[in-house]
Amino acid sequence: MSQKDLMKDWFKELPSEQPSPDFKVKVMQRVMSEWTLNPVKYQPIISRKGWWTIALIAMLMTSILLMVHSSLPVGTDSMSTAKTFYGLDLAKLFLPVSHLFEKLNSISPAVAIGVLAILALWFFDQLFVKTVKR
Amino acid sequence: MEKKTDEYYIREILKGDSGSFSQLVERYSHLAFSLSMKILNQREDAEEAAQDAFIKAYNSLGSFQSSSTFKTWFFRIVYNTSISKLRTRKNIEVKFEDVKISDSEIQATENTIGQLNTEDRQRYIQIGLERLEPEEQALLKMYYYDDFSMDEISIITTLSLSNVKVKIHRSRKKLLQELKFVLKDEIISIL
Repeated sequence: MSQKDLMKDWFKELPSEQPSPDFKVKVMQRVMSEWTLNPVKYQPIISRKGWWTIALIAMLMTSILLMVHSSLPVGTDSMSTAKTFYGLDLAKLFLPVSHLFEKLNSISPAVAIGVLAILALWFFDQLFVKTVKR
Repeated sequence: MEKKTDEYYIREILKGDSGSFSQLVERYSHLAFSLSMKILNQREDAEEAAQDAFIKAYNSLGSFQSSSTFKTWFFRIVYNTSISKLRTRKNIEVKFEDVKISDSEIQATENTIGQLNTEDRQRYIQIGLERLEPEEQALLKMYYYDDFSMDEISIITTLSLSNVKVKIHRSRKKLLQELKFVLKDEIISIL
């Protein structure tokens, strides 16, 4: 048997050192207190700033489309003559937008008021939470 | 139940499940305490150092590189924490003294230890180990008891591989030298 194996065997015979029975509990208590001090924060994929940028771009695009739409001559014939705007097929672009506005027009005032009320409540809730946090 | 890897639990902890850390504590508390104990030789200090090492590991899990195993990485923390504690406890300088024991004396000591019954052998080796410097004890324990390779010990202790080899060889010789003194009466009686 080699020298290392001999020494290894002797060391393996030594009684193992055992920590106190509550060692694990003590460690986990400290880990949990560390965690409460520095919890892992939820990181959204799209940040708040990102959402605002997307909303702003969407609003700008809609406004531009509406402006372009209103500057075009009225009537189906004139639409057919001026279908393109800087190479863009406007008829295709306006179709979903006009559908959206048609849908919005068809919403009853009661539903619209309901939605507005919910949005207002959400806004005030956010405002309240922010004020409390400060 | 399927045994999950250390890496699995680390991923879970990094995702926010701190409870998964208890699995790592369960797995390594005994080894961590045992290494700390070898260095510090005092139960309370060893427990405190092992606990501190776990907390340090928990706080730095984000910087853990899977290029080395968690076990090696964690034992480096345990080793450094215990050595720091030892240095603050008493202003000691870890030194390696010259070992004066001939090859024939080593052989005779090994033969004598081999002839002892297990209980006596355990007692004498324990006494011999206690006569060594804490760093020497830790190196021998990691190599002979915990089965760490020389490369792993080099990572844990941040000593160069050649330095680890030299120190383990010297610590082993020193242990046998101390055992020679302890066993003096036994050798005389056998001779």
